[in-house]
Formats: sequence, C-alpha cells, structure tokens
Amino acid sequence: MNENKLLQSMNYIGDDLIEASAKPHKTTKRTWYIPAYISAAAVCLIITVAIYNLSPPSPVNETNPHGESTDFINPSDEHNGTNITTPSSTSEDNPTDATTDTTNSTTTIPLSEDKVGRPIGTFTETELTLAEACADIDFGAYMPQAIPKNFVKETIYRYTDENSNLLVGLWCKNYDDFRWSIRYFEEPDSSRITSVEDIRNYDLSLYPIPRAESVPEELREIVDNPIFNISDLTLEAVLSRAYSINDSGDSNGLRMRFSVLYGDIIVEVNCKGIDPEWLYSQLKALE
Amino acid sequence: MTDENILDLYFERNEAAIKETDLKYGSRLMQISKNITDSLSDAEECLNDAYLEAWNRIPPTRPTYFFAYLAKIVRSLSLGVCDKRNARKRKASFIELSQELSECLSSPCSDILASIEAKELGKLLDSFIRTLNQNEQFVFVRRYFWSDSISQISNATKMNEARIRSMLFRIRKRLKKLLNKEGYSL
Repeated sequence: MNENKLLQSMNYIGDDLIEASAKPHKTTKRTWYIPAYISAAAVCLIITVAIYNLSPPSPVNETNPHGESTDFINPSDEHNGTNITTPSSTSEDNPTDATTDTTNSTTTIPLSEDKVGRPIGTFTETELTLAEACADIDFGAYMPQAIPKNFVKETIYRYTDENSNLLVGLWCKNYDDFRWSIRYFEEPDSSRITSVEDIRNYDLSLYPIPRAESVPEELREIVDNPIFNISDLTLEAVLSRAYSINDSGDSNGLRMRFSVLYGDIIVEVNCKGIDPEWLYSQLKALE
Repeated sequence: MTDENILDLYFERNEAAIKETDLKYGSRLMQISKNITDSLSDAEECLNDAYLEAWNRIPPTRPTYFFAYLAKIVRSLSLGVCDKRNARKRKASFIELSQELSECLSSPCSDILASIEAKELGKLLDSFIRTLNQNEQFVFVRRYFWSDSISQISNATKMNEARIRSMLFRIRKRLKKLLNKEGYSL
C-alpha cells in the first residue's frame, strides 16, 4: 500500500477547513461554562446600566440610522450608518483601550485617530447565531428566511471597522457554499447598479471563460458583481448569473455572485451549489 | 492586497500576480512544504512549481478560497517529492505522520486500501473532520494537512503537548472506527 494514502487524501478536505486552520486559533471553552458566563455578563450589564444612569448625561447625543437615540455612533461615520459598539465614555477617555466581551465572542478595539485627529472607527467582530443575526437592528431583517437544505452554518459575523459595517453569514455543504452579506449602500456602489434591460452589464452567457479576455475593460467591475434593484430583479436575471466550472477535485455546482439593492441596504450573494430559483425566491421574499 | 485583487491580476495575465501571491502567502506555503519535505531546497522548488501551476490554472479557475487552493497544490507537489524519495531515504517526521494515520487501519499493507481512490477517502475525511469540535478540527488539520509538529500546534493553540497528543489519539481512534464502518479495513 501507499503508506501516505491518508495523508494524500487530506488534500481533498474542504477549503474552508484549511482556511479556518490558517487563522489564529482561539481555544473554545466547554459549553457548560456558557450559562456561568451569561450570568456574569448579565450582572455586569446591570451594574453598567446602574452606573450609567447615575452619571451626568453625555453632551453628545447622536441617533442611529433608525432614528433611535444611542451613544455608540461615530459621528464621522454617521453618513453611512457605521455603528460603534464601544461605550463612548471609555473610548473617549482612553482611546487605546481594548475590550473583549467573552459572552458573545465580541472583540472591540477602538482604533486610533485619522490624519486630522478624529476617531476613525472601532473594530468589532461578533460571532452570532442565526437567531441573533436575524435580530440585528441594522441588517437582521435582510437575513435569508431559510437556509439551503443540508447546508451547515460555518460562521455568522457582525463586523465593523473604519471602512466596513456588515453582517455576513457563510453556510457550507461539502464543496458547496452559500455566502450572504448585508451592508449599507455606499456611493462607490452606484457604478455597479444595473437595470435588467441592460444585459451587457450582467449576463454571463455573453462572456465565455476566460472572462479576462471576453469582458470589456469598462464593464469588468459591473459584470463581476452587478447590483440589481429588488423591484427590478427577475428570475431570468438570476439565471443569467449562474455558471459552472468543471474543476477537477471540486463539486460542479452552479456558481453565482451578484448584489441586490433594498433601499439603502445591499445584499450580496456569493454561492456555489445553490438552486437559482430558490435564491430568487429568497431575495424576493425580503422585498 | 486582497485575494480578489490578486486573482484579478491572474485573470489579466499580469505576472505581478506571482509576486503578490508570494508576498502574501509565500512564507506559509513554504512552511507547509518544508514540514513535508524537510528540505529548504525541495520546498523552494515545490513553491515555484506551485506558482507555475496556479498561473496555468487561473484562469479559468477562480478559487473561492485562494490560500487553501495554493496550499493544496504545494502540498500535493511536496508529497510527490516525498514519494520519489521513497526508494531512498525518507524523512523521519513524515514517516511518523504516515504511521500515525495508518494505525487507523487494521492492516498497513491492505490491498483494499491500495484500491481506494484518494479523492473518495478525502471526502470521507472531510465529513469526518466536520463532525469534530472546533479545537479538534484545528488540531487535526494542522497536524495532518499542514504537517505541523506537536510543539508548533501547542504554540498555536496554547494547549499543552500532552493534551494535543491525547486529543489526536482519540480522534484517530474515532477515525479508525469510521473507516472500519465504511469498509475501509480488512
């Protein structure tokens, strides 16, 4: 026998497993600790609220994109709705502090100032359950209403930094994957918005692989990831984004990548092995 | 530079793609190859071959996970180098890794195993790894994909070496049970 057959077979494990092992590892705790952590966090929260109520009101009182009062908004990011989850008193007093909330795997690191001395945002990365993601005040309403059959959750993250503010979920099944990302519309996105009438902007059947040779330079960006208005989106448009690559060692599922605009929210879908009709119905259900 | 940007360079057939790939992932890929071949010169050769292979495959392929894609290529080439060495001298730590995994099968000289396609077995391994918890997945993939030593894994996970050894032992035991169940043993 070839003695290293099993070692060679390790080359066929999922790419996501390899990527996960390439990242710095945080040893997970045993689950029976969780209730204790939740209790401790609840006590801390009660104490924090009590202290907050006793302290004098903050001179800054911003509102988030939903019109709710909050102290956790970075004024410089208000235009695009970037949320900051660091208590303002802490970040203002000591911008170099880093806070880690172990109860829900939240990492919050206030970043430094920009060139003119304004705070430029806070890095937060919170791993969520599907239920928690659906409850997210900014983007929860745009989570998919169902997950493709037999797909297993890989990660759901609520992520912010000085450039990004998004909620992203990844589900996998063998070599297939389903990535669903939600964020606010930003000005640079406007160049990728297309009408379904303008098939040159998105219909992949017009552009044979290799697309580096078939897609005109001026259309490369929009063809790579077009944005459809949800009111405009048709099943034909979704079907025209689906293609497959017979790649050795990979599953031959249909691949799709495009974005959909719901008012000021963009949902980006990047998937392999998903039924286009199912995907279309999910996107339309959010309209 | 993001993976997407680097892949765009490949699609544009811009040779800067190789340079950017090397800048971003060169050291990690070299580590994988060196762990397997135990030779800096072989590892460098495998790495260069891997870049050429990536250049030839992209486009049309556009990997979703670029690092994993490269890691598989470099690992496959490195294992190939080891196979060529079989007739001569083999690397002790590589033999150790092979033996650890081959203990999952009741006979190291199984004809049945010889007939199993690596790909088919790989799928089984993939589904097995997904049944492991997060710590176990990390340790197992680091040990048997990256070919990391126990002490390297210990450094990466902050778990002591004894715990990692016993974790790997328990995982191999479960893998052996699964392989038996699937008929991959005598």
